[in-house]
Amino acid sequence: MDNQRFRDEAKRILSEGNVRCLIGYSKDAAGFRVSPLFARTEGDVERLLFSPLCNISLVNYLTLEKGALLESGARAEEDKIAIVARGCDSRALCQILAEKGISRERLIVLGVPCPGVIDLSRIEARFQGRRECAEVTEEGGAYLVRLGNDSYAVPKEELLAEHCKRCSFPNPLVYDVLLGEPVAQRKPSYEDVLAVEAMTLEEKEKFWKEIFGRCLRCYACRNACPLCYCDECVLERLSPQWIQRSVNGGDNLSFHLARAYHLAGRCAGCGECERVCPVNLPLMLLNRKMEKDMQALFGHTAGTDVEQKPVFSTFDRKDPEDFIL
Amino acid sequence: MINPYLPHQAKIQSVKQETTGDRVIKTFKLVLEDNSCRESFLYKPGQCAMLGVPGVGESMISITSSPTQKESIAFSIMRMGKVTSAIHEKEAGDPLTLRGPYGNHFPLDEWKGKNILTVGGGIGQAPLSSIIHYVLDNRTDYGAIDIIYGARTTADLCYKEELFEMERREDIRVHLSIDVREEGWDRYVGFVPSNLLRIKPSPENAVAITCGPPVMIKFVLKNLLQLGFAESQIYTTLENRMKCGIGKCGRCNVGPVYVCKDGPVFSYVQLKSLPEAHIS
Amino acid sequence: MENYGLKKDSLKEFLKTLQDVELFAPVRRGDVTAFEHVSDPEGVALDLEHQPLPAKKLLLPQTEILFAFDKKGLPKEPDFRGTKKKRFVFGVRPCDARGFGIIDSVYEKDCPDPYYVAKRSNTVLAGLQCSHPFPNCFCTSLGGSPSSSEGLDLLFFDCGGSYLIEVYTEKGQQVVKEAQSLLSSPSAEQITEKEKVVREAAERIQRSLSLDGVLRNMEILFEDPIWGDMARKCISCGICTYTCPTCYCFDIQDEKIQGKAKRVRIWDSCMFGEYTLHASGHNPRPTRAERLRNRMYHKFKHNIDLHGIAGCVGCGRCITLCPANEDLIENLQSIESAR
Repeated sequence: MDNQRFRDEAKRILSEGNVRCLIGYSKDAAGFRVSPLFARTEGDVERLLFSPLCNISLVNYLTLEKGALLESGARAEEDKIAIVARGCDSRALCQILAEKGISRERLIVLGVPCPGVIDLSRIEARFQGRRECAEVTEEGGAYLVRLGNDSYAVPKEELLAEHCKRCSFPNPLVYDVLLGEPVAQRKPSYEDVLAVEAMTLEEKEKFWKEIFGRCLRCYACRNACPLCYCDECVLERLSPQWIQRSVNGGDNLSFHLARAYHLAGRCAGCGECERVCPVNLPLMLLNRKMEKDMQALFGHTAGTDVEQKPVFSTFDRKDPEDFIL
Repeated sequence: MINPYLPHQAKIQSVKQETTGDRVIKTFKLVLEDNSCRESFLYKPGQCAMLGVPGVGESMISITSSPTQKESIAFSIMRMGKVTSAIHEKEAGDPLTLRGPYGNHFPLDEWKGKNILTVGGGIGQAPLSSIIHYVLDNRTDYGAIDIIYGARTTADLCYKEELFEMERREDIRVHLSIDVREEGWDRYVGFVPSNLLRIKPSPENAVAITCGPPVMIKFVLKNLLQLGFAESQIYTTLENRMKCGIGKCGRCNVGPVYVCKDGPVFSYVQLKSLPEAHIS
Repeated sequence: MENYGLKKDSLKEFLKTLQDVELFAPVRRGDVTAFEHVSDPEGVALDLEHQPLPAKKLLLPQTEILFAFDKKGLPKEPDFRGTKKKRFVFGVRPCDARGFGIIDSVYEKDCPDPYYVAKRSNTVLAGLQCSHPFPNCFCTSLGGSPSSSEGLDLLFFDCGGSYLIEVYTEKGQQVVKEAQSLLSSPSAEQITEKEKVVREAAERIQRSLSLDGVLRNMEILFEDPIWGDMARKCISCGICTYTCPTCYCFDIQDEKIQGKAKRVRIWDSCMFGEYTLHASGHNPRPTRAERLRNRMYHKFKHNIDLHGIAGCVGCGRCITLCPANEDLIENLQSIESAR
């Protein structure tokens, strides 16, 4: 990624008049963290960057707050929002657009072909205690990590997020500007899902019981998910109440299964839910199981086509009906 | 140690539907089952209690009756959410749970000798009703009583029969209004804040208490000041979502004060020091 | 104050000799260290690399049954006997212990909470001095320290091959008496080592800030746009509140647990959108800006005005675990420099 070209492009877009803000990344002052940047001025743009540390999904901010930045059907003459989107982010964007959750005309998408990002906990563990502002670039199969006056080359495999190792959508599917060369795409594979499918019932019970016993019900997974944007979420409704608020294995299981089902055919596979979880729940297992089943049952993959009709709002005579007589 | 979360049993003595339409308000008169509970439930006008339906939940409701009305404890409740809907299903003879009384109260001792002005809108009349009955039952302790009360339509007016009866009394002045003209209504038509300006109550030796929808309160406060009421003469109540009622669960705070235990009664002077109350 | 030496490899035996107590200690579950009930001290993980989730859940369980309803729908008086059992919490960090003091100021006064009080009075807190504070620790800026004994009954100092144990309370002394045979008088070397460890720990604290300007500026910044800027990247989850040793807000719900109706209280978070949502649909804190502002005011102004102390012990967990990288220290510094 040529960060200078990126900033020049960002400046050009912001100066085009009716762009309210440009959502990108900026480097935090210390260590390896980046933060979402809501750039409005040229001064803000100077802080924009893209590097292997950019691990947050910015698309989430488009749907995070009610009455948020973009309403479906709103007119393009009004303020636009520019946003930096990696492969997975653009897939989420694609799905939201297909659902008519956002107006395309009000978006300017800076697509970034993404070779994968770094797992923050891994790099923080690798360089424990280092607080200098890190600079990380990818060269060959390694990350070049600059901390103060020191430079380190770390094999990519050691730091790359698990989730990115499985990514099959590295290149943006929706964009107005493409920043960088397309990245080689790998075919989807589901070894992790198959491993759980192969477990016996007793093994599965033990596996999931331990996982859901850890859940804190902090709602970070739901809040971080770009596709979770219902005005009244099923997980917190009280009238009627679908999920009890008690935190225990059973109610936690209901919580996560309900969310997985509500995301079936919609989950864009960005992995934010797993990234944000403070107790490291392997939530993508549920979503990827759904993704695999949706492909098998309906030939459907979420977030690949802006014109695609939402799978559960469409009826097709060829839909499997073997559960009805 | 007393368990402040454990509610007491009460029985509904009577249910009266005050309003019809979508905003249904019913007045529930409750009697605590246990004698010692009944005797120790001593409250003052302005205080609230947690009414509960086992298995559904609890809701903090202001006490409508005055402690001088000893037969029962009255609560006027608008059907809004899960708990109030469950309460609205109940009939005379049904049980409810009760916890309280909670919060502070109107400083009625300080107001002795003063003229009392209540300005209410809709369900806001409920806590004001507690003041009115207390003052009427201690009539010689207080000066003139003026009740200004209005609602959207006659169907939304609470305590209609009682207020029409009070209109005919010599020792109290009642000024009712509805927002929109209606067949058969020959009293004032307009919003409560406008009625207040029209009546021009004197601030001399008076205290004004207002309760009602936030937009009404905003204009009533403005108009009271315009009429010459000092900030120290004005009182209102705040409400917020509540769960524990005792200042532990954290959610009902307005800045540093908890509506459940430091409120619901606040003077205008106090409100001005609470930025989160947004009185400007 | 009494002090003792304990050989490090006798620690597990020490814990085993404690009679008639429920032992709680840090335990490693996958990638997370948290305080759990430990039946066998072999499972204790004195993890120096990963900050454990706070011990507050031992006194304020995330889900606590207040009482059950009987078949007629009458509330049944809860049985407090279970909480009367003595509890020994080992490995608490000094910041968490100070955190309990802040929760005490709300739960033990003014209509005391019997559920909390019953557990609190029967809990012995045995702390572990932080020889290696974590990257985001700033306890020293808030009146604490990695070696603080405030709120603790005992404090273990890691002196290399042994621990030096300081006992501050009668409660702590009672427990220690049971393991007398494993304890010795501390040697001069142990005492010297302890002093060295205390010094080094304080030097290892990497982050600090001053709160003076914060309190002063909060008087005038309520309507300032700073809160919107601060909250723009917040995703409004509950991680900061749930991992905070001084946060104590809860929700009360009537629920069915194993087929029986119960009234439970559950941790809640002022950061959630629907925390203050009225049944009418009105929400006095509809956006993240108002909620973040409320949290900052509660901890760094109201708590000080009401109880004389900030509602924060500087453990840094909110900074480490925030998914959007909201940095409390930076946020406080921006409040300080706003005027």
